[in-house]
Amino acid sequence: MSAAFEGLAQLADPLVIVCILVGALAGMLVGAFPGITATMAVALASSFTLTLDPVPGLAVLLTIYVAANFGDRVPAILVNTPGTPASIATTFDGNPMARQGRAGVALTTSAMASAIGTLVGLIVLVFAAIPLSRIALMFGPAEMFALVVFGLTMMVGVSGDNILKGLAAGAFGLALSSVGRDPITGTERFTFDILALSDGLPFIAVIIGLFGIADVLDQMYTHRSALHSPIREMGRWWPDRSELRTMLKPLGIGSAVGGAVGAVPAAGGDIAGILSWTTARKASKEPEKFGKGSLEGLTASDTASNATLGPSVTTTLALGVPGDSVMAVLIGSLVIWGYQPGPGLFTSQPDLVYTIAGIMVAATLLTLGLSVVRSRGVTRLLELPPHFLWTVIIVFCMVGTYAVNNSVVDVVVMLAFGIAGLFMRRFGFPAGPVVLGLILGSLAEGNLRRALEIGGPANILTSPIAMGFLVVAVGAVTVPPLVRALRSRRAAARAAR
Amino acid sequence: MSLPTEPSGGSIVMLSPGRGRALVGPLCGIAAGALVLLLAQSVPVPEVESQFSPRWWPQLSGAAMILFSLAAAFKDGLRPAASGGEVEAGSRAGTVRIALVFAAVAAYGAAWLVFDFRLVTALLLAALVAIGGGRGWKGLVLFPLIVTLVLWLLFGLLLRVPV
Repeated sequence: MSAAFEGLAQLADPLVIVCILVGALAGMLVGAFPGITATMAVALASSFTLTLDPVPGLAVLLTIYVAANFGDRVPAILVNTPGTPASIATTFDGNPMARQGRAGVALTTSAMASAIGTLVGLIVLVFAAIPLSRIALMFGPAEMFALVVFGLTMMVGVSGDNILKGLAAGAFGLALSSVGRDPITGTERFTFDILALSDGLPFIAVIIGLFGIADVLDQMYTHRSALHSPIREMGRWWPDRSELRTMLKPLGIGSAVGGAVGAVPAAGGDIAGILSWTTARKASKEPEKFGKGSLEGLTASDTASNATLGPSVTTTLALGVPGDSVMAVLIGSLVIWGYQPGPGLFTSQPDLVYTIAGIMVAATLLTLGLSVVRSRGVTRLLELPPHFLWTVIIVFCMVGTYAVNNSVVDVVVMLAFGIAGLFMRRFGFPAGPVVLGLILGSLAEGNLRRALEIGGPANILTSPIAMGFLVVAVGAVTVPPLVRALRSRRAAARAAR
Repeated sequence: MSLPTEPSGGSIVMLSPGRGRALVGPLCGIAAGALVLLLAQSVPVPEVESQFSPRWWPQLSGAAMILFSLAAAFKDGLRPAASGGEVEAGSRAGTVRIALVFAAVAAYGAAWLVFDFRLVTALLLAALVAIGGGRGWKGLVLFPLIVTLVLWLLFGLLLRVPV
């Protein structure tokens, strides 16, 4: 109980409250602009927050994470464009509802479902984080290596059709992690006598380049003006009693699906939202309305995509394996603050679980309030010319990256990875595995070398936990393409018949 | 300065997949992997030998890059339609825009060594707005001044970054 009290007491600091307010406003704005993802915003914000103490810094980053997952529903509903990938399934029913003159109800329902989903996910964080980290404390080098491989392949496995390119990108990240000192002998590798590289490539600069700069460059490269015009007729704002009753079943489905998907490393709100929407359609008495403005469909998808947040944080901090791409960025910040996400974190600092949960509950309630009262000015935001946005992002990325270490080398690294990220995006290589490989590479290398030096390959092959992780890892990258090939063969056979 | 014009209000144009385009990415992956292997040869090996030298991990990851990129090249070369097709087509104006952004950023880096942060940042902001297509005094004067003020207050005064 004292850990809970100590953790929550940290939130009484006025600076933390200010940080939550700033994070909520920033996150809502970020989510509302299509093309700016929560990952990109958290990466950019991490350059500002490194000068803060860890708790206020976490307050900003976690609140942006929560609030962006509310704000991204607005363009999904009004413009049929997901603000972030997590709101893809929101467009299925949200936009049809808006076209039917029910945009107000869609926005309010979405905010309520998102809030309930987030709060349910946080219950997982509070009750599962410490037991999970106690189990993970029993892991030796073999199990830790297998866990890293598991996390990396899960992120690759969910990257759609690009599994081979995802694996190549992950290997690129692992190669990048070898820049700096060797984790066992301390020998310098790939530093080219540049002092700034002896501690390795700067995480934050690489992340901002791959997500922030690459995103903007891609938008500048492909830009077509005035593709969408937002819907202006909002209709009534509050769902009536019968609509509220309709929401109950999809709320349950969404919470269960989101809670389970969020716990899987690298599986985020986009997957949970689509899976929950499909499950709710199967369970509905009116499945024919799904995709045509169903309140059930909207509720199921938004509850699930937000219910992933708590489990995602749990996996990230208790195991040290990112729950999603935002968490990969957060790990970078935590390492710089002196925290090492992984089994030891919550057992040595159990109060941190409650601090994080408290921040996320406050962020959820504040963002729910903002979501309900904001709304009329939102359509104007969606009409802001993109050149203002591009300019602000580029300059903030540059100055923000410089501010981390007052280093011009960091800015050059960021711009180089911006170009690399643009290239990867244009040719189908996902950026997430690169970041994950960079962050987890030294952990994987150190543990693999220790495991092999202690007992040779048998050390890994005789550990049931390590082998379990490795078998699932292999399955994550081999089963999806096999299933796809089987399906397309069946479809071809049907077509031939 | 005038930028090439582009269609407005049209639908999103997707890239048509082709074998040549599908192979560019994997071939670059193979080249990058080969570069990693080559550079790994320059990593010094400690005098006291251990089971794994510091070259081992970069060599392993470089080889993995080559292996996975080769597999991707083989797959995409055989079935180019399976790759691409989901990537939005770029435009000549977009290429020019990106080149101008990097030119402006390089000029900014050089000017920052000589002039005050606030002056060069306001100029960079105005240049970036112009490159993005913004025109008029609000976009080219008022907006850069406001953003520069925010940057200076945030980084210069609040976070005490030596800008």
